[in-house]
This record gives sequence, structure tokens and C-alpha cells, in this order.
Amino acid sequence: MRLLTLCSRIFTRPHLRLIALVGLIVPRRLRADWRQEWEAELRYRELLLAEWDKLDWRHKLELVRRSIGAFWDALLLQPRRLEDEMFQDLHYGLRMMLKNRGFTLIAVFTLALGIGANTAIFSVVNAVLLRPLPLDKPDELVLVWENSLAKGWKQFSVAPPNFADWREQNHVFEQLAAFRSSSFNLTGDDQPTVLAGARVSSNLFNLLRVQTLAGRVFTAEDDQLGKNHVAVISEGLWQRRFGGRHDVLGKGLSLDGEIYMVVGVLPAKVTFPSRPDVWIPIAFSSEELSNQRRGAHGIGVIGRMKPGVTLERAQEEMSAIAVRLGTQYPASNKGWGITLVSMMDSVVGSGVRRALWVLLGAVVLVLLIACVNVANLLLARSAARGREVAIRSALGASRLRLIRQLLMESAMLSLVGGALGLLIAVSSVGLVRTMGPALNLPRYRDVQVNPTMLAFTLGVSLLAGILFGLAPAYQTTRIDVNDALKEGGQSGGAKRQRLRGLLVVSEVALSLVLLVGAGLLIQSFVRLQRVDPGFDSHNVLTLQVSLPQAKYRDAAQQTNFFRELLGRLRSLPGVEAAAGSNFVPISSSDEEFHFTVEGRPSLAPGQAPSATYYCVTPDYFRVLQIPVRKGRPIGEQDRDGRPRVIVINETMARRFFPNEDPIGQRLRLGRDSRIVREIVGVVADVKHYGLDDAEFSQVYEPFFQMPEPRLTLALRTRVPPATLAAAVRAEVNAIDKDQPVAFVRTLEEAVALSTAQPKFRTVLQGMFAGLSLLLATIGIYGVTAYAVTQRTREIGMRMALGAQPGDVLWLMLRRGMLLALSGVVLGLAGAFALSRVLKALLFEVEVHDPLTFVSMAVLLYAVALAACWIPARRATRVDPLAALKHE
Amino acid sequence: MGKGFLTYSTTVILRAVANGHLYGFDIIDITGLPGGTVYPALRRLEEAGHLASKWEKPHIAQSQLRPARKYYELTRAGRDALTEAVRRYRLLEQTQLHKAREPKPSRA
Repeated sequence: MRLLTLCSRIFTRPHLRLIALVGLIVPRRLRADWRQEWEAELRYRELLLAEWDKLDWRHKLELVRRSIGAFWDALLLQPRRLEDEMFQDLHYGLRMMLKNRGFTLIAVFTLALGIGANTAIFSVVNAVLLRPLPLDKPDELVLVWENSLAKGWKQFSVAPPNFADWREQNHVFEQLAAFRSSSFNLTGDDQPTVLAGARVSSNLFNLLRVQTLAGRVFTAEDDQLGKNHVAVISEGLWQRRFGGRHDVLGKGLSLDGEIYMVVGVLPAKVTFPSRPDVWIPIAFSSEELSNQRRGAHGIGVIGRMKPGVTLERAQEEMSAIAVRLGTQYPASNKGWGITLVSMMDSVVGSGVRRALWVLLGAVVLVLLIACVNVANLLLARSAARGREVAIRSALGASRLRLIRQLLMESAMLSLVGGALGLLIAVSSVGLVRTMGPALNLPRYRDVQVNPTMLAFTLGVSLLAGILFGLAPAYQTTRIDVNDALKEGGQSGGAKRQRLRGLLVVSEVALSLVLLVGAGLLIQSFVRLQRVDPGFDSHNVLTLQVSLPQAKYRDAAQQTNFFRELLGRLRSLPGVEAAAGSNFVPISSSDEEFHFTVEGRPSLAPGQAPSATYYCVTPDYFRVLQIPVRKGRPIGEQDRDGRPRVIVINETMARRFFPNEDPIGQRLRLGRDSRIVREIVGVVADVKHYGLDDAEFSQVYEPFFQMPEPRLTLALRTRVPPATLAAAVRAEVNAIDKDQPVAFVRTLEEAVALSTAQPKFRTVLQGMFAGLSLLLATIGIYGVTAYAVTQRTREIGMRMALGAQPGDVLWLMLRRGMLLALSGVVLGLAGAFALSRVLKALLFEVEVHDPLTFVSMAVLLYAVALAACWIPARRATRVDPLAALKHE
Repeated sequence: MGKGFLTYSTTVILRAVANGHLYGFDIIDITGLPGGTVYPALRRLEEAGHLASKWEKPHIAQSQLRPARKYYELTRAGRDALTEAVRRYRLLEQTQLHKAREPKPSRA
């Protein structure tokens, strides 16, 4: 019966019912007007026609049809609802931010640090790791190296005849090209300078798919001996040297005393192989490509894989080719394999990649801690706002509406924090760009402020705002209105305290993970710094002089030049000693030669041991202060025409002459195996590539018995070495005014550069860990301090009833200590699980180094304790009378 | 709605108001457009300042035992916008007329 009434009510004048119904979705502010407008129109129309009961069905249908239009009308009014309420929320949020300035300041500052650090590290990660290289289909590009895993060489340069065979036999590469980086002395109208350059296969630019700015790239014809005196220059050199004029094409460049004709200019984005200013064709001679030269490793090879070929597939085929060449030419190729490295990996390097991801992980943790801290602050404040929320909810605000309001407030906090963080990030980006070369950071030029970075900041800010706002919003709105109004906003205390405790535990745990990570890196760095490089890097200036062979044709001319130069340098005021070597540590390249000990059975092909080869002038050991352990150093008497001698290092002595005196033993060396050299001395090991280098065999041959056109000079000085640079240049030019000097730097700089990356990541990780420690401390302090305030009355009561200050202290400390302890335990577990990602970055430190784990846990716990102690102490000074009167 | 030009149906609605059809349903009747088009257009026009709305005098409504109706009036800006829009659509009509004037095969 009731149903029938309902039905009849709906079916009498359904158009008006419809309006009432649809009106529900109209924004509340507009609802009354909206309903009146539609209702008035419909009723007016109805009046014009007749009484509803007397209407025929066609008119009834017409009225209903009209009222359906109201639905579209209402639907299109929806955006206004959002605008209205969002505006309200914004307005209200702003008022709250301004009202609680202290809170806002702390929250915004905390977030700014977290977001700023994230944005800064992200922009580096984005530029270095994520952005593709500025070349066409860079994923297809790979570098092809030889390897001799038995000797520990994973990426070794290639012998030209092997390269020629690869080119013919492979089916996976569209093209292969050879390159050899070298420097050229540019002479001519200006002051002589040293240019970074490269000799490359003529198809390199085709392979890279780059176009010239002017002129042409090399043709196959340029790549023949005798026709190879053409050059392609960089945009940089074109601007610097030729003012960007187009008549540069066809002009001659004097490189190492020979004239090369400029045929093309390449855009600045072409930096392969190593930021050269000039490229010339590599033009192998038939001798270089002969089978006898399969052991002469000296070029790099780059390839572009055919579309659809994977790195694994290419690796498979190239390995098969290496095996085939090994059986075909056992004397030179046995034991040699092929390593493919994607272009991106080779530009960036696995160490940098790993370090950057770890840093990004660390800053994410810092941001999480920052969020937890702000959430904690918000929760503390939510107690004070309980009453406000209760009133609003009593007045009809839905819970969803309240949560949205609170989230809007936290989003505003994080956006302001994000804006501030962006400032931090932008200045960090500037810093990274200026420090890039000193940090040895690849692709640092690409680190820049760009839309991706801005989008990242915005995204992270919003995410952070929701993250730290959600729990407090949930908690704050989960109240019983009655209780809240009665207790004056003190309700929900226990639950809120539990949530805050949980947040503090996670904060401490996250912070410990960071601290352990930083601790491991710091230990590793300290050990790296303590490594004895085998030489004294203080007060040494090094520079390279490379004599053009066109001008200094024979060995005598070359030795004469260097003898005279060394004599002049020695007599410079401030110079204690001067010497030269083919390579001075710390260097990124070296020469390796096989050797055999006379009187021992010759080893199977490819099994002969090898040593790093130095070719040094007298006084070299004195200049670098490499200790002589046995016998004598190389001296003035070791010159052309005298008995051939050689000095070896301790590792080689230990490995090859374990039970006998190496002095007097005789060696044949791969550089010229016809000559037998007598060992006259043993010197300390030298770290060649970096302080984290393993121990390798090293040999020193007298330079004046085996002269080369290129020599790296080293001066031991009594004055700061950098001050002598100009004087040294002047001495070189006094002998030959066309002779440039390259790579003038102090040995200390070279050592510092080799440890720049570990230093950088250690400093950053340490900073992030320190920041997290500070935030965690603030968090614990906040929780305890809040508990003290909340329980003032209870404490007063207890003291009035006879509790001693010690009891009160313990009461307040207990909770904080328990929280910190749980955090530490969790953090240790987390650090134990996560620290293995650091494995590749650690030097002589285990990833689960117990000392680091324990010391960091103790440090964190001690700091946490101190943070609890301060507010707990305050609790003991509560005046019972005042506390009880307070209510 | 931006201050840009008016769509054709909006122009028609504005013109209907200008011609004295002040109430929503009158406009629906005279233009033949559905309510779901007319009402949102009226709201947008009002927001853009082309129209102003007023409630009917209560005593008229009360005498008929119904709520007061809302009616719309053209503002000065609305009048300008209408002139502008009509001029544009007249141009449009002329181009269409021009096409229509092409000779058609006649049955006669």
C-alpha cells in the first residue's frame, strides 16, 4: 500500500521530482536558485497547459523531456563545485600556514631540503644516465675491445689486423670503425698549441650518422696512406682558430709539422672518441695490418649493430670470431677474447652509474625522513586542531571533505617547500656544472635546469604532500565529535601517540640505513687516502712534450732536445730535480709488454707474463721519490752504447724471483725482444691508474737507451709547483719556438682527480646521512617533548603523591628509548639488506663491516637518547602545584 | 566562456533574449534548441557578462501559486557581442548563399 502511494507520488508530476533529484548534484551554493529556476519554468508551463491530471500523455511527456535538460545543465555546473571548494580550502590553508608561522617555517624548510636534494640528484641522474646520447639510435652503438681475462684485462685495445678480420667476418654489425686518440702539435701563425685529436677510419662519421656543418666527411679514398693528409675539425676549433669562416675549407693545418687540408667541420655535439678538435684518417699501412702485428694492440673499435641485433647476440658472434682467430694465430691470439660495451656504458662507466643510483636512493630516503618528520609535526598539531575539526564536522562537514581540506594544507606546505627546494636544486646544478671537470663526472655539461627537472620537482612535491599529509588527515578526522568537544581537543591521544611512535621508529630506521651507508663509504675513502701510492706527489709539476717526427726524425735529435731541456729545467730557480718518463702516474693509459726471463723455459704462446713499461731518464726515482729497495736506480751512465739495463718493481721481484736475487738476472722485453737487459735495481710499487689499483709487475728502462719522441717531464720543486708553469714553457720555446707544451699540472692534481669521484659521493652521502640524523633527532625530541606537555598534569599528580625525579625521568625516557631501540634494530636489518648495493663502490671495506654497523647504531642511539633526555629532564622540574592548578 | 567569439547556437540564444524571449523555456520554444543546450549557454553567457538575470516579482508568482521565474536581460557587452557575432554569421550566410546561387538543373 505504501509502495503504491510512493509510486503514485513519483508518477504525479514526475518532472518536478526529477528536478528535486537532479538538484542534489548541483553545487550546494547554487542549488536553491537552480531548483527554483527549473521548477518555476516547469510549473509555469504546466499552468499554461492545464492541471496535471487533465493533461494528455503527449504534453506530460513533453514536460518530462524538458526536465531531463536540467540534468545536462546540472552536469555542466560540476566544475564550479570543485573550484568553489578548492578555493575555500586554499584560502583556509593559507590562513592556517600564516597563523602557525613557526610550524610552517620548520615544515617548509625540512621539505625544501628533502625536495631540493632529490631534484638536484635527479637532474644529475637524468642528464648522465637517463638522457640518450645525442646521436642517432645510440643504443645500436657499441665499443669493441679485446680482453685477456687470464691477465685481468677486461677491456684492452685492439690490434689492427684483428680489427680487419672482425670487419670481414661478422654479421652483426652494420659497420665497424677504428679510432686512436692522440694529440697533435698545432703550429702556424699563433702560439704553438697541443690539440686533442684522433685518427679514425673514414667510415666513422657515417657510422655515427653525423652531418658536417660545412664541407664533407672522409671518403674511403682519404683512408689510404699518402692520401690521408686531410682533416675534419670541430666546431670549437673552427670558431676559435678560424672565426667560423666558411673559407676554412681547403686551408692547411700544420699538425706535428705536416700539412693537413681541412675538408669539413663537425658540430659541437660530436665528441667521439674523446672530445677531439681534429680528426684525421687512420690509414693503416700494410705492415700494420700484417699477421706479425696481431700482438700490437693500440686502437679502439666502435660498431653500429644492425637493427634488431641485441648486445648478447653480437657478443656471441664476436666471441666465436675471437676463438677462431685464436686457433688460427695461436702465437698472438690465444687467450684473447672480445668484450662488447654499449656506448652509453662506456661513456658513463659502471662506477658512476652505481654511485648515482645509490645517491638517488639516499636522497629518496632523506625525503622520506623529511616527510615522516612533517607528518609528525602535523600529528602534534592535529591534537590542537581536534576541537576545530570536531566543530566543523558537527556543523555538517563530511569526513571526506575534511580530509581533502587537510590534504590541501599539506600539499600547500610541500609546494612551498618544493619551490624553495627548486632554488636549492638550481644552485646545485650550477655547482655541478662548474665542478664537473674536477669531479671527473661524465656528461656534466648536460646537467641543466630543464622542464623535466621542473616536472620532477612538482611531482615529488605533490607526492610528498600526500605522503606526509595522509596519515595525519586520517588520524585527525577519526574522532568522536562528542568526546572531542567535551575534552577540549585532547581526545584520540593514545592512538595519535601510537602513530607518532611508529613514525619515529621508521624515521630512526631509515636514518640508520643512511648512516651505515655513509659510514661504509667514509671508511672506504679513508682507506683509499691512506694508500701509499709509492711516490710523493707533493711539489711535483708534470707536463708533456711531444716532438713532431717530421722535424725530429732520428733518435739522436730527440735525445739531444730532451737532454738540453732537462738541463735547462734543472737550472731553473726553485727546481730541485728534473726527469722524464713515457707515463707518469696517476694516468688513464699505459703500455704493457710481454717479457721472458733468460734461462727459463719459454712459455706457451699467450701465456708469457707482462709488465707495465716505463721508459725513464736518470733522476726519475728521485723526482717522484720512489724508494729504491735493492741495487741501483737508472743513472747517467745508462746511455746509448752502454750495457742494456732495466729496473723492476717489488711485485715483479716477488712474483718471478721469489727465492733468488733478481739483481743480475736478464730479461727479454716485448718492445724489442732481440735485446737482453740486465736487472740492476728493484724499486717500490707505484699505483699507476689510481690509488685502488691492484699490484702489477712494472719495469723501468733507461730513456736514453730507448728514446721516444714523446716525454712526460716531472720537476721536483722547492716552490709551489704551479708557479713554474710559465718558466717551463719559456724554456721549451727557447729551444724550439714552435714546440708546444701539453697537460701542465701538478702531480697532486692528478692524484686528487683520481679520487674526486669517491670523495664526491662520500661527501654527499655523509651530508645526507647527517641531515637524516638531524631530522630523526628532531622527530624523537618532538615526540618526547609532546608527551611531556600532554602528561604534565599526570606528572604533577605523581610527584605530589611522592614520585622522585628519577622515577619521572625514567617514565618519560622509557618510551623514547624504546622507540629509538626498535628503530635501530629495524634500521640494522635494513642496512644489512641494502648495504650490498655499495659493494662495487667500497675499497677494502666489507659491505657488512661490523665496526661500521655497530658504531653507527651506537651513534644514532646516543643522539636519540640525548634528544629524549632534554624534554624528560624538563618533566622532572614540573611543579606539582602549578600542574594541578593548571586544569 | 572566454571573451572570444560566440558559437552559432549561443548567438541564436543571445538573439532570442534580445528579441524579448526572457525566460529559459521561451528560449527553448523559440530556438528549438534542447534545454541541455540552452541552460548551460545561459549560465556561460551570464558568467561572461553578456547576460544579467533577475527574479520575477514575487507577487506575480504568488498569485499563480508557483515559484518566481528567473529571467535574463542583455547587457551592453552582450549587445556588442551579439552585433559582432551576427555580422560574422551574416558573412557566413552570404558565402553559403553565394554557393546556393549556382544554377541548378530545372525541371520546368
